Amino acid sequence: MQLFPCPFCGPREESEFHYGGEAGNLRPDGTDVTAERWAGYLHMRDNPKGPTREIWMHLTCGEFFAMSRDSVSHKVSGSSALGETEHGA
Amino acid sequence: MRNLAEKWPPAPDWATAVLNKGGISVRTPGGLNQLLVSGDPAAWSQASGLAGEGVGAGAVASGDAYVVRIARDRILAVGERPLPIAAGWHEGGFAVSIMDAGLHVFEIEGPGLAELVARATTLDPQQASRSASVLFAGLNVLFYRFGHADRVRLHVDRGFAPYLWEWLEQSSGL
Amino acid sequence: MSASRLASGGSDIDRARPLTFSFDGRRVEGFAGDTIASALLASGQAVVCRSFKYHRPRGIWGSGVEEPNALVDIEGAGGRVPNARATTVPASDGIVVKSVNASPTALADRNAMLDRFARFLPAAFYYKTFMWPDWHLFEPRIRAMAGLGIVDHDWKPREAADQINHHCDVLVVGAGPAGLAAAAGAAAAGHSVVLVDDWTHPGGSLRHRAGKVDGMEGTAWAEATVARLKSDGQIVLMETTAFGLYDHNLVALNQRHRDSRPDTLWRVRPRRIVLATGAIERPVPLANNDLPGILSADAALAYLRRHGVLVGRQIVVATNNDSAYEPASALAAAGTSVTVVDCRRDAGAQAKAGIRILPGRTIAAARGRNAVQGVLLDDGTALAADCVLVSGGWTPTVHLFSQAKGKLAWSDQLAAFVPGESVEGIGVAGAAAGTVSLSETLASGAAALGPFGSSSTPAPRSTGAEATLGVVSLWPKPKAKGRVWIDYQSDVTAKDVELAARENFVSVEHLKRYTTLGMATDQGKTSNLNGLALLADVTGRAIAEVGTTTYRPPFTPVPFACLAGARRGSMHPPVRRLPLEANHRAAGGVFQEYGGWLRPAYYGGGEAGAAIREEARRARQSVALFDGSTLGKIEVIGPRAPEFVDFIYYNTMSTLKPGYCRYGFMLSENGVVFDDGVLVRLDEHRFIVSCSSSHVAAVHARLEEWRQDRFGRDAVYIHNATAQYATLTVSGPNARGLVEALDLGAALDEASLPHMAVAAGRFAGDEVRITRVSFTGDRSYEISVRADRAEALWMRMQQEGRAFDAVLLGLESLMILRAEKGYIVIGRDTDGNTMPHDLGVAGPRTKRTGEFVGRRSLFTEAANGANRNQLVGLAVREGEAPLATGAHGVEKSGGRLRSIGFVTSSYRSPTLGRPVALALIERGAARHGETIDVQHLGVVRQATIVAPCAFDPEGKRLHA
Repeated sequence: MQLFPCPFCGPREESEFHYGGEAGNLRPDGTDVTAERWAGYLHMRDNPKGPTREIWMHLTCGEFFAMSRDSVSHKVSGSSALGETEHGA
Repeated sequence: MRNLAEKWPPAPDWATAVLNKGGISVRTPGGLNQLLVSGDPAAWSQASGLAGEGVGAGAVASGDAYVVRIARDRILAVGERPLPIAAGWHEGGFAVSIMDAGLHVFEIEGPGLAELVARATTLDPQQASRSASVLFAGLNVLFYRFGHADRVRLHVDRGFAPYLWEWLEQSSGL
Repeated sequence: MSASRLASGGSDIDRARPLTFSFDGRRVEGFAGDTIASALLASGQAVVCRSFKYHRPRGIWGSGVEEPNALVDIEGAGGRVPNARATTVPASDGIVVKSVNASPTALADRNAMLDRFARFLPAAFYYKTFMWPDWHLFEPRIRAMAGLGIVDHDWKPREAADQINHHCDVLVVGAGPAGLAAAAGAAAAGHSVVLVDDWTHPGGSLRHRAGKVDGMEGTAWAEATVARLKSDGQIVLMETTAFGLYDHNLVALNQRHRDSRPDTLWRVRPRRIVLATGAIERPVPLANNDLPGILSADAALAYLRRHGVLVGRQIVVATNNDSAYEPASALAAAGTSVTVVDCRRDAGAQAKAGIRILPGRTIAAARGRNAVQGVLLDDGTALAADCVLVSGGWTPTVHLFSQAKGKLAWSDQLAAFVPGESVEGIGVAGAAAGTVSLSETLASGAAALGPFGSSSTPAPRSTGAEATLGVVSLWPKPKAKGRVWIDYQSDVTAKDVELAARENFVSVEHLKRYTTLGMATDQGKTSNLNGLALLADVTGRAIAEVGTTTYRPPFTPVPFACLAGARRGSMHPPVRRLPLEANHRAAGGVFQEYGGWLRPAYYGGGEAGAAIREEARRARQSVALFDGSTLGKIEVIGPRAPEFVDFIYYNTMSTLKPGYCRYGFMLSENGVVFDDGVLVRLDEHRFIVSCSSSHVAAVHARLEEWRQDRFGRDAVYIHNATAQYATLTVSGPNARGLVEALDLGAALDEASLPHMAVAAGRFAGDEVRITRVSFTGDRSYEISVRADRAEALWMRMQQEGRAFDAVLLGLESLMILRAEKGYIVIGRDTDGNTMPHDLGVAGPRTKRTGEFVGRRSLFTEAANGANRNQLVGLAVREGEAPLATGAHGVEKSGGRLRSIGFVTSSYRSPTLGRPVALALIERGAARHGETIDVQHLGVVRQATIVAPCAFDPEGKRLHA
């Protein structure tokens, strides 16, 4: 059971959180976006082994945030609210 | 078709229901007024006269009107008397919804509270948390103390109040 | 085998408290402090169960969690426990113990003949042989012969298991010398400590091996140390197993109780973990090494010193290390004849009075039928014996360290894997870390605390004799004569391992799955290393190169009741309850769970189908009352709320005027319809999203996500106010008359409150919201009122309803009404491919210019494909029964039947007097009037594609 640092609440157990995808998967707007670009946004993921940046939602307080985490060791190195700077874990 | 009303017992009469077990006593203090408020805290404070960050998980609130912190930009205002703020958007920069009936409030008192909290939450009692919103017995609940350290108030979605009551009845070790 | 109880001795038993229990119908006597195993040994019971595959007779091998053989079913105060290890369960008065895998008893098992066919039953035999025509034809009978204990399917714990979350500074696993040194050190440094041990008494190896600490006898020191920890307020949990080490150093503990309470689950989150989990003795490879009467040498010593039980009279010890000599001497001193067969040529230095040592020799085979009778040495010498003790070296118990992703390192000196590079927050101490002498062990306990150690208090010191090991390799060899058991519980022999290697299962993970080595309930605690050493030999690799399989929790089996806790029965999962549930119960509601809510399916006790159709019929005739409180009521408030709802919905919503509402879809980014419902606009800056009952949490989360990610935190706010309101619906030709009678103070004429408009009213002093939307196709009013004041309004509705012959609708009849109208339920009449234009709503796709969720996906090649499944109605010939929901439309294509879609909803309409059905059918929108084949369970019927709406297609009744 991992401990995640919600940027607002501080450390809480993993069961209070919901995964929201890889960070940095920016949404391209408009109907003239190429099919490849849109498919990339919808489906293509890096699924990195090692350091990652992920989006998580803290289900209890509703905060969406970015978190730096190692997908192998599960070590968390920091988190930040969307649009804010990194907080220490 | 099996009638599942047999599987789930009827909810008790909250006005009179009291649960006493292993050092805790649970009841429902009816009639609390609750407002869900999001937005600019300063504008809200000015309009309501209720200031402060609001109590976080397990912290102690007091008085006949107080603020419970839910999220970065959201609080629950709780009062013995109706809070004179209208529902909807306020130009000062905050939004209000009435939750008087939406959140059921349980009040739990007694020396067994620490044992209860250890069974219902994974919180480290030594560590403060700004939001009172926690998973409690598997539910999203606002959890804080009221008046003193041996009295807890829980606000839970009213649809889940019978579950939480049953959980308190059934949980062993309390 | 002629094990017996000595007249005195045994540190764990209380001879003043005798007890009796039954084993396979036989009376067994013991003392308080006995395990089931020690009592069985003391009573001379050699055969205690049958093996899993060959039904070989098996006896007790170990004295703790490592036990591979002695599984028993126990009926006691807490109900029946299947597959319990007799070596770890305390004996108690009156329990009924049965051997597993044996019928009628372990000694006289009727499937024992299976062993004679063993040569025809190698690893994977069953799967290879019974593959044709289908393994599942043979599986039940084969499983009945294999299988272990018997589960009592009716058993329920009398109460919920206790589950405790705990935080502390230091958790120490294992109360042997290393663990006690660590716990004492942490406590002395002022830290909060939890110390756990799976045995009944503290001390670990000190309870049966010689050792002195700080001048005290080992056992006395252990008990004094624990007494001091307890008086300091530290937590000491005996009979508790740390069975899993999870992410971020969460440790799960299984605590057993002597009374009927189910086991307690502890979830401990310490700042520092010390693993002092000891080591497990390995068997020695020799033919027929599974015969009853062959035991671990350490176990024999434990039974002697802890329980006063002598495991035999004429004992042969087989070993490759020094640790076997303490059991040998102790047993000799107790009056038995002991011969040590030591594979080391230089053995003999340990010579003690009363022991014969045969250096440089090994045992080739044991002989005997239901118990060992003697051994044959490698030089051909035969020795008589009623008991053979084996000590093949020690395997550190590194399970928890490995679960924490700790890497293991091979030690030639110990002939074992030991913890390698340390893991953050975890220290490993004692035999688990590969220490041998008590000095090393005590010092490693204190050192494992890292920054949590005490600098002022000195670590405990060993003041007695020090153990040595001097172990050499004694691994199973390929092509050995006879049957050498590697994994007793899974019945895996050396030949099975060799067969696996021949068939190229050379990865240790493949070996495990092919042979089932290490897959039994003991998870190979005694067998894994011998198995992979043999694999290494066969494949010409070093043991370190072969590596180990992955260690996963649980370390020992944990009852489901312990893991479930209070979350069982009606609390798994929790369901939401309606504000008016008591009223629905009183009205005879028959409840079902729908999307996480407990709701009335129908009312009255009659036959369900007839009762439901009668509700639906009456609803069309006059007026119906329905509790729709579960509908989502998520408020969207703020300056950019109009822009926000435009982005969230497929339909343009910002043009909605205050006081009105509009039906619309929410899409996923892949263009698929995610939810549908009505959006209410209360004022310029405030909307209410009325989403599907079961979708509230998901819709709420998606609104929060887009708000925080795209619109900014101060632009718009999301409040889920679903629980605040009860929503009571009045529907039918007489709906307006009934609502007028409620006297809500709102004008209800067509101009003031047309279809899809909202009005405010009051009832008994409370504000109510009246919305004219319809899910039945009839004129309807949804009246939302504070949930805690809903009862009075509901009672008033029923009271006024009498004049109109009003009927209460359960959810099932509502489903008929909406299906008659072709109104969809998302996820039922749509699937993971359904886009809005498949449901006939193509307007926004072509007309909208602004951005919205899922927009780009509506313009892909797939979205514009010609063969998309589209929503249609299906009609059957007069007099025919309804189509089955889930039946497939089929079409012949190239000689084969091909699915062209499926039936999503199907009912008998009482109003129309015929079945109605909705379906998703390929190119359905353009095929109205066509007849297609519909197949269900091999039966093909015909149906005609029609428009989804079967009732009142002009929609006159909405305004009637």
